[in-house]
Amino acid sequence: MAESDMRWDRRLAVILALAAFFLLLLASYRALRGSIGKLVGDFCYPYWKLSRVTADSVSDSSLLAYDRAELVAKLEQLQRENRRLALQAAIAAELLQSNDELRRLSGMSGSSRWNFQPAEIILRDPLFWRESFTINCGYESGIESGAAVIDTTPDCRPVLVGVVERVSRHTSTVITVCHPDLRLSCRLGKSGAIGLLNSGSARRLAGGRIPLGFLPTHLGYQPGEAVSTTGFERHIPSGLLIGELAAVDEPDSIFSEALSINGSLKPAADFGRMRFLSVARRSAEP
Amino acid sequence: MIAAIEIVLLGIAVLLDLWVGGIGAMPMFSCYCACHWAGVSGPAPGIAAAIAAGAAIDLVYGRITPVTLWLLPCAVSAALLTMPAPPLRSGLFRSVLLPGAAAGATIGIGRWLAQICFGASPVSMLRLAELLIWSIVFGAFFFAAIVWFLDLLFEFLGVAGFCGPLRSRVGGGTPRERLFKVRGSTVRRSGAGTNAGRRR
Repeated sequence: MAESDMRWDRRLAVILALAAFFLLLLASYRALRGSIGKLVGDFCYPYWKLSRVTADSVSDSSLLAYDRAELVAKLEQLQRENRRLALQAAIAAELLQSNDELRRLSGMSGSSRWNFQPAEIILRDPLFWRESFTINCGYESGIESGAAVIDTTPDCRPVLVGVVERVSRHTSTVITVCHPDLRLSCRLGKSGAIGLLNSGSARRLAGGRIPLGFLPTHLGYQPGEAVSTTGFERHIPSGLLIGELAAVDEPDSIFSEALSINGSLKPAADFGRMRFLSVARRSAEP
Repeated sequence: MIAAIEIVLLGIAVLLDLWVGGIGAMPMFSCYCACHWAGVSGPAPGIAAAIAAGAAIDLVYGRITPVTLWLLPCAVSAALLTMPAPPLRSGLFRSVLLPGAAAGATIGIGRWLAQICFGASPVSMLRLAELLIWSIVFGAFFFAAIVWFLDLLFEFLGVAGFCGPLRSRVGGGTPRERLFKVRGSTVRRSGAGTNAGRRR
């Protein structure tokens, strides 16, 4: 009988210890999240990098499957693309120069200059695939918290993917525009209205759309309008495409006194396929 | 010895989970390792391992709300509830496939719930069905693979594995023989270790 009691006491002690361990971890999770996340990000950086190196080597080996004629054709296509991009870059540099000259002549302050740090996704959360990921550059590469993370569309248009949330030495955690905690100001292309991303009544929308809030009631909106960044945030350049307007609530002009309405947008970034990105860094004011 | 092997295996499983997560899959290898540990050494170390592995995965991904921290212990508990006690482990389905499938089902449902509660996009019932089927099938077969591999290792090291003590006479034969060769056998608890307890 006494032996049985002791066994039950022991079991109870084990259950209580496990419950205490669980509650302690749960309570300290928020505090641990920042520091341990950074520590693990740096400590495991070679491991995450290794996984990318392995994937790259497999991808490179797949080139061996092509015959010589196919490889030559691909090479020529890439050379053509490089020539086109070099010409575009030369034209852009000339425009930038003339813009600076005009600013100088008219006595305006210099425009903001941005550098772009290339980055690669090294870790992605399968549970929240569209909401956050880790990239392979940190404060050693000059990345700051709040920096814009940019991808390009197939027609080479820059698209805002998200914002750097946490920076460690070699890695940075990015929250995307789909993350409910990322609030950004955005400008609608045709109407010129300013709204706020991930705000409004709905937290989650079907079809991968993002809630858009605080759109002025008195303006007219058209589905398909381009939505881009405003440049109000210090680390985010203006004019980056975020997506296109999917829908806007119809205001009740007779009974409603609301000054703003809500809508939704379809993000332009392809979260399923992106891998190589750029992080915007504001350079010193000229 | 068992703890050292299981800790190393759990660490490898967590790293594999994080690596495979990069391609969008969430196999939760660490959960099945914790289930195996729970089956070998009892519920306490298994659940503690699940909590630790879950916390590690959440922290590495930098999730604002922990998910695997509660999901993994729940899955291990589900496996333990469907798992017979070590001397009675006979029959592949009852002892290995069923606990693995139970853990897999818990992971599938938990993942769906987490996406509903904390995710940005709503998740459909069709997605739940897809997750559930995939998790159950993967859980059952992966847990069987882990049991097979680790029991071979434990036998080689001379340590009692998942299928019970090495020289157990319950049901006749070695534990592995009972588990993988005798199907659908029933063993009477009262007769454990005696002739009365042999397979009818």
